[in-house]
Amino acid sequence: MVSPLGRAVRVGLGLLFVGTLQTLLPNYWLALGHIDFMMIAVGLLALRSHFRSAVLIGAVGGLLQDSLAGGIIGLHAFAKTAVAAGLAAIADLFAVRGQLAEALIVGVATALEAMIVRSLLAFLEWPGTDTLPQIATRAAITGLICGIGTVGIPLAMASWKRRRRGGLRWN
Amino acid sequence: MQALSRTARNAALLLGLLLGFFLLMSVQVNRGSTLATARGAVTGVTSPLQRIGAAVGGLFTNTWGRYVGLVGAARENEELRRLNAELERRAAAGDAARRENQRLRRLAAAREILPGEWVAAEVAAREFTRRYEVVVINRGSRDGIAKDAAVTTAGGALVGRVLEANLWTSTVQLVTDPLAGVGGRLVSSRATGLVSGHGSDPLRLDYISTRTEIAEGERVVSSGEDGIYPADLLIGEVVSVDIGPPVPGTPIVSLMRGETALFKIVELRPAVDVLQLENVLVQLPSTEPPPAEDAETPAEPTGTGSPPGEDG
Repeated sequence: MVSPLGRAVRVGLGLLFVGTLQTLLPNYWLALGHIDFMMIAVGLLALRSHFRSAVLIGAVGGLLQDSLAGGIIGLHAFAKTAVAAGLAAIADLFAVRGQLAEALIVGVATALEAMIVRSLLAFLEWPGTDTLPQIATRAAITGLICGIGTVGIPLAMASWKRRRRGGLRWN
Repeated sequence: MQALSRTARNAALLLGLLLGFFLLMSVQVNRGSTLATARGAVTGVTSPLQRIGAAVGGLFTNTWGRYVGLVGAARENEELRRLNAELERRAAAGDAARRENQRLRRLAAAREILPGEWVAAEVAAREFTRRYEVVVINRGSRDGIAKDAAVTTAGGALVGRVLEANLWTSTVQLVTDPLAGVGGRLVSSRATGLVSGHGSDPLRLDYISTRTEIAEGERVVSSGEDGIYPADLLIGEVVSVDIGPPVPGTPIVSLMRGETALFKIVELRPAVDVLQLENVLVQLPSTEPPPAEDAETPAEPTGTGSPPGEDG
């Protein structure tokens, strides 16, 4: 049984790892920048958490993203906190079952987060560079990768375990 | 009642956080401050992680690159041999005096373009949504880097300036950032203006008089008048020239003659591909006294001469 503090530390370290990954990967292959790994992590955690935890996860994830990427601190933190709160509220109101539903929600959440960021930049009269089609592409790719990750990886692992067990019987 | 209280507490937490973040953003935007202390506390933890990650990633990329390089080595070798033969033929046919002149010009330009001390750095991280605005490099204040230091490629093409120098890493504002501004100079006419970034769109050179003759392909270098960037760093080359909007209140007759605009709209292709940026040079703060007034006049770059650098 993991204590609440232990869980918080684990989540924090996990978000730190995801944030680092998100800023490092586009250096090696720019197309990987289309995937908002932090939104996937925050989204999936928010869907599985209580409202208060979800809000804090969104805030920490966004702050880490802001500090790692450089620029205005609080921009992604604001957007991710709001989106995480929305996701937690959805998870409270409706029974979100299945990885595909989660992936779809994360995709929509990514678009929503990008729109909030864009609106904030416009409100603060701060120039932004992402266009609406780029935001839509990013949301679709993030949702797809989330789906592949949440559905594909458990399936692949289960298949691998089955094959491994089968291999033992073969002897 | 208890449920209502819990809901109210949750709502208060959410609103408090959102309001806090909004105020944090407003403070930074209004005061131009980046809250160095707060960021320093966070990056103190995250930047070593970024450096380690970049190092591990670089190791993997190098290994993979060598493998891929081996596979195509034979074909590339053959191509290089052919290219080498062609170059030797051209070199033999060229004018020795002209080549000597060009070489001396290039040496003089390189010496003048990169005065002072520079430190080499690698791009350690970038956020995709801000790919035209900032990158994080793997050198920080412990390497002597200070805020507002100029950043260039090895060839002397302007990349941007250091927005923030943390202990281990630094954030570099790219020249393509819509908030970036550089004093620019056309190399032929020597007319100066302000170069501003527009993300993925071309850079823009503003405040160039309509009387100035500008040719497509003409190079634009930093003027050094902004007090941040050294003079004569290559910024880009002209891709289009247009007449600016007319001055309000101009008579229709003058409008029809097209004599009313004060400035031209000049678009530039950046000398650096910021998306492919890997290695950069960062200027270190000068410790030497400024050069004497009667110092030798620097070699003037020309529109058709050898460029200071176009690598990214």
